[in-house]
Amino acid sequence: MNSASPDPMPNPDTPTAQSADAMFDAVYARLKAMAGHQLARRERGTLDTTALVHELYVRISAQRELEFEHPAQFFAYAARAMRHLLSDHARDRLRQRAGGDWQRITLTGGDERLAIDSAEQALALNTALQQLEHSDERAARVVELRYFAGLDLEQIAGMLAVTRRTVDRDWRFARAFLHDQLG
Amino acid sequence: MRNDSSTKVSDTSVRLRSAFDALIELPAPQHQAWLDANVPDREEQVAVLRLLAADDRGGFLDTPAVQHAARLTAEEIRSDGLIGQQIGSFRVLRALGQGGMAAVFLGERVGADFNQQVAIKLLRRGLYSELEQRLFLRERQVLAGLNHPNIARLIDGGVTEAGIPYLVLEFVDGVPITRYVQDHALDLRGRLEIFLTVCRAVSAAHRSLIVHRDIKPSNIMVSNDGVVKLLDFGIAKLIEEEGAADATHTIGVFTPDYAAPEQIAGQAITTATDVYGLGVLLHELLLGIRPTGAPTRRPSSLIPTRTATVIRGEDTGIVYPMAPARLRSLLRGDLDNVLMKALATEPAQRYATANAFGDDIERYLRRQPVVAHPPSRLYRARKFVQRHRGGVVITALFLLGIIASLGLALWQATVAREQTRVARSEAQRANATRDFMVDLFQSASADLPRDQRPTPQQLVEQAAKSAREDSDLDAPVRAQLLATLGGVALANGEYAQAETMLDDAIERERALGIAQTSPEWIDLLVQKGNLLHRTNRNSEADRLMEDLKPVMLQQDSESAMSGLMLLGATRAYSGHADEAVAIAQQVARKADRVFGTDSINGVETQTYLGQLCVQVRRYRESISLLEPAIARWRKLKLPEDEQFARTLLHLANAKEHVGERAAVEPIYREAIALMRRVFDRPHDRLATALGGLALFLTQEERFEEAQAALDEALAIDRKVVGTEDARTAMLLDAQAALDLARHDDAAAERAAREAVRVLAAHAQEAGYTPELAQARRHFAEISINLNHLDTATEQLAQAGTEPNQAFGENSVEAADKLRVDARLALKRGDAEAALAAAERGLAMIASLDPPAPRVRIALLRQRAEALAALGRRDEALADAARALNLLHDSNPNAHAQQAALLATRARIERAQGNNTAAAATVAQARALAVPASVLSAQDAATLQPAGP
Repeated sequence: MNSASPDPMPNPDTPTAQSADAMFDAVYARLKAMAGHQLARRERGTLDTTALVHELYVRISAQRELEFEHPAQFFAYAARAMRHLLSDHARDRLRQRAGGDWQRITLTGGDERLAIDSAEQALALNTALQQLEHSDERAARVVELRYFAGLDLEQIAGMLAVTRRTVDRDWRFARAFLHDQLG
Repeated sequence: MRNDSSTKVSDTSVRLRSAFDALIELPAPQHQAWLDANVPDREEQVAVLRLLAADDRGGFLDTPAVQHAARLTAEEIRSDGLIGQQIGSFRVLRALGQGGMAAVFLGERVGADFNQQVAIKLLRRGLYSELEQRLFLRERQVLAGLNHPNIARLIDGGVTEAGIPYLVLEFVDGVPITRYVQDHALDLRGRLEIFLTVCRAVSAAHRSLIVHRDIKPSNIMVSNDGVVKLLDFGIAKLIEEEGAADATHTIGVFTPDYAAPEQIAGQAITTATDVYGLGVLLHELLLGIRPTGAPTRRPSSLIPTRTATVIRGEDTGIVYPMAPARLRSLLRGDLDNVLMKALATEPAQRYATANAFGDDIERYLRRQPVVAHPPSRLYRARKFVQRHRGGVVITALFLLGIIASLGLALWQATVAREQTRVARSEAQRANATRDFMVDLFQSASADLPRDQRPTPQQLVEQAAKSAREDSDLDAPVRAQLLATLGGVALANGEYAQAETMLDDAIERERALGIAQTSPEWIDLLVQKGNLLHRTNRNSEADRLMEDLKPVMLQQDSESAMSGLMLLGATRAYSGHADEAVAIAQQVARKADRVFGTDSINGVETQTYLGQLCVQVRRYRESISLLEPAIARWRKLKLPEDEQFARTLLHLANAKEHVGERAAVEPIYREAIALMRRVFDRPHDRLATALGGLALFLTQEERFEEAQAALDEALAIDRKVVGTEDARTAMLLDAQAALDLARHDDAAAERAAREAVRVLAAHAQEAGYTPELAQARRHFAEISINLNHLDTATEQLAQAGTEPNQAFGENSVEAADKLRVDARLALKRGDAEAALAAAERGLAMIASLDPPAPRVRIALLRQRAEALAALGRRDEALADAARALNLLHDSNPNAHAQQAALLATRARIERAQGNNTAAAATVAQARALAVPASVLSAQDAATLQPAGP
């Protein structure tokens, strides 16, 4: 939906066969289908970000649909894609609510309030993260990799080639910054 | 301003960050003191304290992202609010169940005399875009056409005002098939017979090209009176997450335990996917459990041996049709083979159709030998190769599989087409055939390492070979296959390959006595026409389409319309502009009527008409057609494919001609970027696009960028179409124009000479006369620069009158030729003749719309030079001033042209003896800082700084 215009992303140093946009679109489409499928089956117990992203990685590398220079590049795309996915879900949800009275009566479950809150907050998070990108690019990257791709801070340090301490501080600052923005 | 404030913002955030980093190391009581000492600004102090407060409390990020996502999608459709309400013409009675993607209710028809009970399925996700809704409705229509006694009918369906899609299905009061066989303790024969009924029903759906995708016991109900009904046919496709648009990305809706390997891998879905589902079902019907373990393990080996039988059998609740030991011995052999064939991992290894599966069951029941046999040596070899990926052999083996399934799929599709020939959805079915093939091609490359994938050309070649030689195919199918494969090759830009196949198909169809009015025949000839048109044989294409015109006018099919559009193009290339536009307009109206303005075909036809208008230089008209068509294309979210890219190119070209220069470059860039994505290798259309951009950049005097685009374009065309092709020659003409603009006369001459040579060989047949005339004008002008006046005369004589035929007496081309005539006359010292030619050119261009300022400016300059030579210097200066004004208004970036015009003015001023004015003019020109290397020697000399 709005994946056509992704924000500037961590580009690989060397150009590959596919354009960054096309790679992102492909990762996003794959992830969306997988997440949609798993959520639909209500396997909440077995679904977590890390598993989803790793499964995506296995599938994509096994089928060689996309060629990534190195795993770091893949995770950067996947994290970005997860972030878009959540925003898209949130937009869908809010649009559904705006769909009309009939729908509100019939499509609401017990957790309607929670769902709407989640949706609004997810969008607010996206906006706040954009702000963070302007002022502290690396901290924003850390949030994406940790929160959306489910990597641990140690892995992130390796991926961004900085010390563990730096990543710890980035995460702590970013978390405070974002929570402050979300109110 | 903006820069300042953003710098400030980022300074602030750097300070916030370092304050935060410092403070989290300190105990809370020391915070205020640290802040007072280090952060003078009160507001910033507050901001830091807020960050610290946020650091201490929990929030959104402490809940995993996926949990949030789950909340967003985890709404249940609450039944109580819905009971008693009306959906469509049905009232909701009670809830039947909730699934992952939909909630199902029992309903009844409102106001009917009879009691019709239905199942109403409400889909969870909305269809937000117009396109999604249209696809849903179209798919629903196809399903509604599925009438079979063993398939639950789709009665109604639609989208509520709130945007929730719903389906109304025949309600089946019964139990799942697996329960039924147990409850009625059916024996082996009974179970096989009921399974056979299921096979026949699935096969009926396949003949309508509908794949179930989710065959499982709960979707196969048996009513109390023993009638089998299949539910939810094709529904999986309708409610898939990614929308029904894309049948190849199918990690959508299926039930994992019953899903075929290709579904799990997200590969192409074919009828073989349902065969797999049927295999799982048969396994469960016979053994009471779903298949487990390696797919090569014999199913009968899953039945426990005698000692364990009773206990394990009872524990798992499995009721075998007979004593396990006896079942084991009955399954071993034929039924084992049947199951293994149906459950093969590779689609091509399975029964090709549900019918073939059913036939084998029937053979077994009649005690005839079954077709399924133990894995062959080839099969085992393939398994081996799969386990040891790498090596060249895989491509060959893989191809075999592809081609086998290709033949079968097409055969099947053709059968379906025969049976539905009269159906209104003929065009859709034809598409399905093509899609089927495209799917197969796509799946061919999905899981091979990149460097080992067969090229499309190889695949097509192999497929054609098998179409000609495979003894299982009958003659009409062979012809049809070759026609389709020819179309694929054409789309791939493999023109020679396409031609061989299309000609072969034409010959075969002729020998078979195909009806001259049949859509297949028209389609085939239109493909051939397209091929001819694209390979520089426009007049041949034109004759072919003219002959076909009466038949095409009688028909509403897609191929007839695309053939008429082609005729429009071939007429235009043959110089019959009005007729071309008239035909295209007729088709566009027809397409609107037949397909609808907002249909893919409707919008596409509109873009063809717009493109044609560019071709015949009706630029304003083309813009008024192309802009709304592009907007609709985007709004409907139609795939942004090569056709879309070409539409953008034509729009860019039209905008250039009407003088909307600022809009041009972004459109070119978008079109080129899109083409790079669409074509996975060099393609002549990308070269054409780059050539267009290069011409535009030349006029903007961004010479280096223009050269880069041309270099790429020429490299592509030399490789793809060769040096003797008109397309390559047109790029060389663009090169000549570029070199001419920056006064590299030697390079310009080489390019122009070659362009003229190649275009002359093609012009008549391919319809490139105007392009040839333009190349000759460039060549003539370069020759004048180089003082080769005889060559110039010769070229101008030949550039003669051709464009007039195509574009009338008064055309930009004719005016431009008069300008070059004037230059030549002046160079020969005949100022009177030069003046006369320039006057005629200016008179001609005065009446033109759009106004072509570039040619007008050049003509004014030419007249100024002629007038100056005749001593009429005041008139000359007036012309120079007009030219400068016009240039300033139409192309302010063209500094080199401006400098050249100023040089002309300075020379006239000097001749007048007005050295002060001349010096001022020279200073004005020098202020433009145009490098002398891109000016003519004469102009460069004029603009030398004034001597001491």
